[in-house]
Parts: sequence; C-alpha cells; structure tokens
Amino acid sequence: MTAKTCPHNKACPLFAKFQVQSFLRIWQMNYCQADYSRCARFVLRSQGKQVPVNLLPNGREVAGLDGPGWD
Amino acid sequence: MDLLHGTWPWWLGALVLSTLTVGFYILARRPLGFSSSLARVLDFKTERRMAKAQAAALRDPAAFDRALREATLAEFGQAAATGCDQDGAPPAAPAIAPRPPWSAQLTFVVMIAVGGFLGAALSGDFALRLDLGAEFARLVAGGGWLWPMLLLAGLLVGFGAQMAGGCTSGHGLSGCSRLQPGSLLATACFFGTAVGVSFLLAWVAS
Amino acid sequence: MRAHGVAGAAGLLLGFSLSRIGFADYGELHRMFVFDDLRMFLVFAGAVGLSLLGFLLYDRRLFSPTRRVHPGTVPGGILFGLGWALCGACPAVPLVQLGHGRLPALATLAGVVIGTLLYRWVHARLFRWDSGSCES
Repeated sequence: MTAKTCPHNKACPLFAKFQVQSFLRIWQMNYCQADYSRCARFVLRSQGKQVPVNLLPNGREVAGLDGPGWD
Repeated sequence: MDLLHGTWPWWLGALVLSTLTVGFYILARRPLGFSSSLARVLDFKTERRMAKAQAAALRDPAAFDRALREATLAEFGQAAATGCDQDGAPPAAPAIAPRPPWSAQLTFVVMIAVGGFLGAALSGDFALRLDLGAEFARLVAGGGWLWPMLLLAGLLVGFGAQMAGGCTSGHGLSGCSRLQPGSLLATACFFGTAVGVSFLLAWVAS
Repeated sequence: MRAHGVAGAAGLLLGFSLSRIGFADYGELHRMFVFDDLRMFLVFAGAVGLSLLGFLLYDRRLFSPTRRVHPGTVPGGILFGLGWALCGACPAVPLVQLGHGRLPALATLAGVVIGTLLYRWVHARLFRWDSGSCES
C-alpha cells in the first residue's frame, strides 16, 4: 500500500521545514505522510480558512506570539 | 482615436488588461484577483492574526526553528530523536513568504472605484443616477424591483465567486492565461451560464 | 509601502480600463452575452491570449497546475454566471459603476459583500473540501 501524502505538501511552509531537519521528520511520519486529515492545518484549509504559518499539525502554535524571543 | 475619452477598441482593452495581469504578477509576486482581495479586506481579524504570525516567523527565523524543535520535543518526547539519521537536502520549497498587508488590499479595492470615476469623468460619462440604464430596466428589473434585484444578483456574484475560488480577474484573466484547470472550468461555467441566462432574459423581454 | 503603490496603481488601472472598455454599462455587457457585439469578448480573449504569451516569456513554471478543480468550482461558477447576467457585476464592476455615478451599484456592492461573508460562514459550517493549498 503506497503512502498518501498530504496534497498541500508543495505549498506548506511547515512541510518544507519538516523535510529539512531529521529531528522534525516525525511530524511527517505522523501527519503529512500518514493520516493528514488529522492535521490542524489541513482541517482549517478544508473549512476554507487561512492557516497561520505557526500552526502545528497537532493544533498547537509554535511558541506563543507573545512569548520570549518573539519580539 | 482618443485613448482617454472614448470607448476603447478591443485590442487596446486586451493590451491594457494583459499588461496589468502580467505586470501585477511580476511586481506583486501573486496573481491579480479581485474576489480574493475583497475577501481579505472583509476578514480583517484573520488578516491581523495571519500578519502577526508571518511577521514573527520572518523576523527571527532561528528563534522560530528553536521553538519548532521545542514543540516537537513537547509533542513526541524522545521518539523524535530516533526519526531519521540524516538531515534531508533543502527542498526547492516555499520559504515563509511575506503577505501583502491588509491596507494594500484595501487600497486596491478603493482605487478601482477611483479609476472608474476617472474613466467616467474624462469621457463625460459621469452622472449621478438612480438607474442602471434603459437596457437593464427592460431586461431585468425596473421601478421598485431595481434595488432588491441588484442586491440579490450581487449576492449570487459574491457567493459564487468565493465558492468557485475566483472571479473574472482571478480565474478569467490570471488563471486562464496560465492554463490553470480550475480557472478554465470556472470561467467556462460563468461565461456559459451568463450567456444562457442573458438569452433567456432577452427572450422573456421580447 | 511598495505593496501599496503596486496595489493602488493596479486598482486605478483596472477601474479605468474596465470603465473605458465598457464593463460598467449593463447594455454593453448584455450585448456581449447574446453575441450581438463581439468587441468585449475579443477584449477578454485577447487579454487572456496576450497574458498567456507574457507568462510564457516570463516563467514557464507558472503553468504548473496549482489551481485545481474542486467541488465548488462548477456550482460556484454557475451561481456567479447567474448573478453576472442579472446585474453585470463581475464583482469589481459595481465599484466602477459607482465611479460613473450609478448609485444603484451600492445595492449590488452590498450584495457582493453579503454574499462573500455568507460564503465564508457556509463553507466553514457545511462544506468540507480541499480547495487547494494556502498559497494557490
């Protein structure tokens, strides 16, 4: 059975990041190249909404926008 | 031939619209499309959130990457470290791109009205009127039905354009000229339907 | 700042050219749709053709199919076409009509805005489909 990859992989900025660093590859293994319908980014898109760049597949945001190192 | 004051011959219209379509893409690095610009203007809350996230990620990419690694550890624990052994080659993939600011989208929308005014003023066609011309009254609606009909028709246009993902500028000009499948089909649908309905209107009015 | 300049210039040129071509005039548009006057069709076809040439010369990669057909493409196109034939809006045209002083275009514009907002609400609650990636 061939693995299906999320159809947005070419445009998703996080997919690109996951691709580059081995440490992050686990996201692809759990979402992008597995059950991508669980990915919060994919779900938002299916609802016709825009996706903030820092939204992770698990629904959390990469470091709160007001956290340290963010301004 | 009077460029500023008269109605343009077809080739001039084609030349100007195509220059606009291609020129905008080159300068703004995104396709020209009114309905998406309008949607973004109306969705200012989301736009603000998106712009903040984008700006933060672009301002300090190293911090973003660090936070990403922390989030990965938090989610998967040590399992992440046993992922793959080697870093992959950097893909020819989109880096995080800057977004057009909301105010630029608003400027675009407002300037269309200004451009229209200029066109009308220079050709002597400007006149404050409470109708849309004799043909409209004959074919579609007149009198008390005018405003409700326009509201309804506008609603169909706004809704349909969002549903199809674009309008005559986004799909028609930008999409078709780049042979995008979604745009070609959408454009065929809207032209086809408009032609059909127009013939029907003409037949009913006769 | 530059983004505003480009956006403003684009809007100005779009509004001006739509006005001079005749898109603000319902009668002209109707004549195009019933094939009485092919001028406006030629404008559109010519614009697409010239743009195609321009894009080909600029970057062949722009033709990779990012904008795909999705479940909203056909029904949306039909609804749009219906509205278009009924009011001539496409949907920037009411702005141009207002520029010409045609006050009823306010009703059309209000409709377009309501339709846009309504769709966002409806899609989020009722539709679940992949309309393409964020940057298409």
